[in-house]
Amino acid sequence: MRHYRIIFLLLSSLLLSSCAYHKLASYKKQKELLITSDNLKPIIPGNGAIKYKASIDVLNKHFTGTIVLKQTDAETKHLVFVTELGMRMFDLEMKGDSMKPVFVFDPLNKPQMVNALVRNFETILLVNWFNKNAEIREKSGKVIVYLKNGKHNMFLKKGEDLFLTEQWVFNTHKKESKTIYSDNYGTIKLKQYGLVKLYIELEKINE
Amino acid sequence: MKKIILLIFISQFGFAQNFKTVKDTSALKAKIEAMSKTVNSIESDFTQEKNLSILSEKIISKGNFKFKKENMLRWEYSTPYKYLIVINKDKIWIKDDKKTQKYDMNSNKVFKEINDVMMSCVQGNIFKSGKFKVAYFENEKYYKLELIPLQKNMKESLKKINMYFDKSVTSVSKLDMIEPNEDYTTLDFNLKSQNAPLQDNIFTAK
Repeated sequence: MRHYRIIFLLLSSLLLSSCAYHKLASYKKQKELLITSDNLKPIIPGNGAIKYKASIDVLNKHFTGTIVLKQTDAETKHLVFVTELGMRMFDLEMKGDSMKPVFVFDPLNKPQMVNALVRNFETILLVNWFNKNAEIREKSGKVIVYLKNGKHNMFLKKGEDLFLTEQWVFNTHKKESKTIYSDNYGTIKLKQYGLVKLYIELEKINE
Repeated sequence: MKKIILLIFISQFGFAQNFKTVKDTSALKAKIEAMSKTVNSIESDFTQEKNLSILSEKIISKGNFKFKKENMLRWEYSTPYKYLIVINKDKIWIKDDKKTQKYDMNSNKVFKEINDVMMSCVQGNIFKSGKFKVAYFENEKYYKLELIPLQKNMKESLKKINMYFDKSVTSVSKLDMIEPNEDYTTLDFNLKSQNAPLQDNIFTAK
C-alpha cells in the first residue's frame, strides 16, 4: 500500500513539474535577444563588492553566514561564504559561463554537496545567461525570456528596469529550481526540486 | 609622495619591531594563570573584522559576550544582523532569525573543538591546552602570545593565533586568527565588567 502511495506522489510531482514546463513553453517566440548587461542587470557589480546575509539548507544541514560577491579582475568574479564566527566555508570562482570551487571547507567537501551548491549559485547569479542568444516569448500580453542551455530549459521573467523577478530552470521538462528576486536583488530565494532538497535565501546587507 | 610612503613603511616597521621576546616567561604565565583563576565572569563588547585577502574585503560584525565559570558562554552578534551562540556545559545552542538549533557537545567533535577554543580564548588560558607551540612577546602596551597549532587538522584551517593581553594582565584585549591563505579574523574586546553577578538563565536559548 505504501509503495502505491510513493508511486502516486512521484507521478503527481512529475505531472505537475511537466505542467509547469508546458505552461511556460507555450509562450510564442517574438524575437531573439543577445543577453548583455544593457538588457539584464547583473547581480555582481562591475566594481566594488556586495554582501548578502545567507541561509542555506541542504541535505538536512542548515548554514548561515555572509556571502561576499566581487569582481576581482576583468574576467573573474568570486562568491565567498563566511560563517558568523569568521570561518570561510567555500569560495566559488566564475569565469565567463563557468563556475568552479576554489576552496571548500573540508567537512562540506562532498561531491553531492559541492555540485548542488555550484549548480544553484550558477543559477542565482545568472552565470549561464550572459552573451548568449535568448528568445523573447509572449502570451496574452505577458513576456518571458527563454534560453536553451544544453539539456536545460531556462525561463526568466523581468520586472521594472533591467532587474529580473523570477527564474525557472528545467532539466529537459522536469522542474529543477525556481528563484524569486525581489527589491532589485535585495532578496533572492532559490528552491531546488528533486531528490536533493536545497533552499538558499539571500538578503542584501546595506552598509 | 615618496616621503609619505617611507614614513608609513617606517611606522609599520617600527610597530612590528616594538614587540620583543619576553625574558621571564614563567612570570607572565603565572600572571595569566592567576587571571584565569580569579576571573569568574566576564562581560565584554567586541568588534570582529574578517579580512578576505583575495577579495581585499572586510566583513565587520559587532556584538557582546558574557562568560561565567564553569563553561558558560553567551556570544551574541548585533550587527550587521542578530546571531546567537550559547554554550552551557555540554550543550550548545545556535540561534538565527529562522531557527534555534541545539546540539550535544559530546556527540559533535566540531562543536567540542569550537567550545574548547572559545572558552580558552575568553579566559586567556589557551596556551595551556598543549595544542599550540607558544611564543611570548611584549611592547609598552601589550603582551602578545603567538600560538602555532600543532595538530594536523587544526593546521589546515588555522596558521596562527595572536593573543594580546593588557600589561596588567587583567583581560584578553585582542585576538588575531590567521589562516593558511593569509585571510585573518581580528577580535577587539572592550571589557565592560569582570566578576559581576550573571544569572544562569541567560546561558540558554529558545
